[in-house]
Amino acid sequence: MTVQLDAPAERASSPGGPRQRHLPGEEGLWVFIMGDLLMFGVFFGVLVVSRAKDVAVFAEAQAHLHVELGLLNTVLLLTGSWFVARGMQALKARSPRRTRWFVAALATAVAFASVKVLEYSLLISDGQTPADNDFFMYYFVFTGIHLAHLVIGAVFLTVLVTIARRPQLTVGRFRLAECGAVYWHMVDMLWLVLFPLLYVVR
Amino acid sequence: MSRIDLLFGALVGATVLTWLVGVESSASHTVAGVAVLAIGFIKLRLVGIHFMELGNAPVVLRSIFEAYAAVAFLVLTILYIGV
Amino acid sequence: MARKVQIVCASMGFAFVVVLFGGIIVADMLPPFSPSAGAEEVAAWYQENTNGIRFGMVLMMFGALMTAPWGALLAAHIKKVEGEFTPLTYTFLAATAAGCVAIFMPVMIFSAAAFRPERSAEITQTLNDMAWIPFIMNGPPAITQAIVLGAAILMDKRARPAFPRWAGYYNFWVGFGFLPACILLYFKSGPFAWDGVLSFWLAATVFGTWFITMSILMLRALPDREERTLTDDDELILAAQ
Repeated sequence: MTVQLDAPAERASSPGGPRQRHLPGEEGLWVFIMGDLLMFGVFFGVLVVSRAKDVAVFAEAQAHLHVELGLLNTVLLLTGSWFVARGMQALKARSPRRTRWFVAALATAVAFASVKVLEYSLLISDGQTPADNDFFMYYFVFTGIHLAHLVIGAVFLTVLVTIARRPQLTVGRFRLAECGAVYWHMVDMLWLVLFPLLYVVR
Repeated sequence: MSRIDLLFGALVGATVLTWLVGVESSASHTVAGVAVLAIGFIKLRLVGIHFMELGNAPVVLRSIFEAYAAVAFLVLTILYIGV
Repeated sequence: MARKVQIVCASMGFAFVVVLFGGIIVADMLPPFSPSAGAEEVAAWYQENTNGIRFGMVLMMFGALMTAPWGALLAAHIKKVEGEFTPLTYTFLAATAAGCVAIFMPVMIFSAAAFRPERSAEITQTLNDMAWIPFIMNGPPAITQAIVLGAAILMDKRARPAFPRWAGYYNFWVGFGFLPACILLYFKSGPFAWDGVLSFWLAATVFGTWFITMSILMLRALPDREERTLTDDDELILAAQ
């Protein structure tokens, strides 16, 4: 059992040695990941095309957004991704500190969601609602769909925490952990394009 | 400092750069917009290759991902500039 | 016989896509009628296309029920995964039945709208809204089907699972694809409106390819041919000379 377990772990984490290619998670998961990236790709396109139709309205509405909070959330997600990447390394190495990386990542997820809720409430109390104009409609819908992805990601992170806490790591659990990590990085990726498109690009 | 830590530093640096170029600079909106989009997609690609470990994944999967990043960036840029 | 029944049930997915989208095209509903159109415009559309709409609806009415055998075979596969105790199978069947209604019901309202197109325009517009809104917003039955099926495929621990594991993840993604249409009530134009890029075009593409993909996978999962046990009917009346 141990031999089999070490195999995927070593393959994925041997920077110098003979690099055997390793598929993170399982093959089927990538159908979902690429499908979701494709779907968000359509969202991004819709956003850019609608913006071009009504540049003035978009620019005026965009000025109401809190760029600092968006930047803060970007850094939070990058940090969360970094924690998960370090956690996966620690998990493969059976480091005694492996669990805390995933707990820390979970904290960034909670922080992101809190900042997002704060942002929504600031905008709404400022009188900006999805019904006002196309920009805010897209802003609320797309960030809302992204937030839903983040909540699912947070569930995955709790699974990662429980996997890391167990004294034994099986092949199946390690694969599940990889699936969770890949999903969490995807949540980060989607925001990396959504953020500039909504907050920065004029 | 491992490769992953350096990458994290670079990603945060790129985020600051996004803010400098997109919000603070006096460059024209179009130039700044394309630059910011490019930075966004470079970050997306780095997260995929290093954090998701696609760099070490089977060639087909890695190619699909690279193609996605490149095509999505190109199409969005063309739509944005409005050629 | 079991094999032939499975072939028919699985192929209903292809037939459904052809008949449903055929009906939509015959009824001149592609691209869909814009929700921002005024009452007079809507009434004129029903008056000018009366017979096309009527014929299209008859086709779609039969199309709706073609999802039943398709869903039933998938339910049978889910039951194989579950064994004795089958809550997922029942959930899937209930969602399949709801999915039939979700197509059947708006089709009946479209039919009523096309029955007396000369009536006052506001009434036709009301009927038109009553049909289009459920027709496009009806995601939840299909979302439930996709999630339950996806879960069952990933739970399949048999040595020879019926479906490949990617199909499980694919079904989850399909469920996501039907989500944008759920907010169409807020929009009369744009990508989330009932004729929009996300609510209609994305959802319709995902929906159609989902039926075809699952049909192909069910055909691939057919049981091996069995030797027939000979009966009285097989007795020779005339032997070759």
